[in-house]
Amino acid sequence: MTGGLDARVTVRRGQFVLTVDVQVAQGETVAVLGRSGAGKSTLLRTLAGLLPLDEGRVTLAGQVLDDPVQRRFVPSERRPVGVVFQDYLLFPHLRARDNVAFGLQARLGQSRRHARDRAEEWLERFGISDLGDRRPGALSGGQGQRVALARALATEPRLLLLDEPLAALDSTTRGEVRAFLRTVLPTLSAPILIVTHDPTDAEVLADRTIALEAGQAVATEA
Amino acid sequence: MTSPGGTSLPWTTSARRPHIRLPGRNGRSGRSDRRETRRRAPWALWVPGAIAALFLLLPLIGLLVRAPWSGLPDLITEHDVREALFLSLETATAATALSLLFGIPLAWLLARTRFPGRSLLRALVTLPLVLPPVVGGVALLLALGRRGIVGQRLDDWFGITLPFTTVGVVVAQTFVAMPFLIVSVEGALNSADRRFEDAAATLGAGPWMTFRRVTVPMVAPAVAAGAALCWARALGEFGATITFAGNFPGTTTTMPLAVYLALETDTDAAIALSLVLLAVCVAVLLALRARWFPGARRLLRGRASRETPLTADAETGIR
Repeated sequence: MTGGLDARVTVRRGQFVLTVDVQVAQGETVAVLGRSGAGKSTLLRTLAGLLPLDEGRVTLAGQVLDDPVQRRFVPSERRPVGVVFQDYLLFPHLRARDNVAFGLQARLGQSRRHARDRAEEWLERFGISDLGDRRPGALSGGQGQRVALARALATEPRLLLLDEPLAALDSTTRGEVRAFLRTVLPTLSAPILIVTHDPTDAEVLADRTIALEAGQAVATEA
Repeated sequence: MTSPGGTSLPWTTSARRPHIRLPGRNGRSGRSDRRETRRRAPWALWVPGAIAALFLLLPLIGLLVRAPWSGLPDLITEHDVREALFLSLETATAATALSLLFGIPLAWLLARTRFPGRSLLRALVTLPLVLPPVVGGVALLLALGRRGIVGQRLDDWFGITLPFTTVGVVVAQTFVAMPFLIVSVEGALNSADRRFEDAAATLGAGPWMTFRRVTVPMVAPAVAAGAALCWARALGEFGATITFAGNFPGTTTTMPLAVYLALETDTDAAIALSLVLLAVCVAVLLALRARWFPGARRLLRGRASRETPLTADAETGIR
């Protein structure tokens, strides 16, 4: 697994213990399926570097991101990990273009102008170049999802995390965004981890599903 | 927008009020119900309420009625008045700038970090809000005065004297006004959605960049409201200023001091000066509504994706 994600995760939060092993190969999409409270978000936050491991080890493309024994922890801002959050968390004070440019400036250290140009290219690629001037509040759910994905991918992550990518959408938009993700995700080379409570989403979007229940993997389907 | 431990000011609350959808401002439905409710308002409430409103308005009306309107242009263009007015505007602005520069970081520390004595510090920081300003002035003299614990060093080592100077006025005003800004910003930081900061981190932004480009812009309405309150408080500062900086025309006689001075000699001048201060305060109030509520509105719009129906309604209601 040279370019992939290899994670053995144990996190304790009070009574709750999450223990799960996740491997995602390059170009592979894995869904973590579970009800709310199963530990999906905790897993995602751990991989994103927003929450340190209690035990275990996370490596990505051969680089150790978190290993409590070695006392190694790479914080979120220095991890090559892109996250699309459940309700996108697009910065409300920035236009769509500047939301996408944010990571280019922050992670890749690009100048504002250069980052904007690159952001424009991303918007174009996702068919939303006419929305660059809009603020997140003026975007529909489906449009917000595209901007959020563009923002995450623009930083050239080596791991992409999607948190309930379809949960915030109404049924019409859902089909549309699902179709969009189905066309975009397979073109990416980074390993992709999708967290969802919806078996259909897992089925449609992922190559493989890990079912999570009360912090434990219950069955892994091929 | 009640924050754990933090007090929330009226302005910070209003900035978010549209969420709640106040009946009577937004709602179109159920208007007849409300009118009925109003008709049944108990005497025991509306009589004292009306007295309170009258009591608050009467002095202002008195000021307007007694104002020497014909002589006003001459009075307020007088040299002393202009001097006091400009001194006030300058010092209040300087005090607000200092409060922003140091107050926002302190508000952030109080809201975002954990350190021993944090609760105590928060309580102490807000103390000037309730402390009589004169006491503040005495305390400043003991600390920064020529023989004060710090002031002595300043004088010995750097030759800096604060009391009875224009800088001293700024110091006194900052002492009294900065807590308004801190409380306002800290309240907003406590109730801000911290997941946006997580999102910034996953995009590669370190703590300082996140603070500058995400945290502060997202609480901008509270910063603006806090700054306006801070400025207004500094502008009206009397007790601490006269105690710590004295009353020297041209250097430390700000508008409130000038009003007080004038009242003993020339009532008309005092009224004129008061009118100027009143006008400035009303302007600040109007600016708060007109200038900064759009900012709050924009932030709300940013959350529309999550709270569509509510926000759509609030949008129209706020205008």
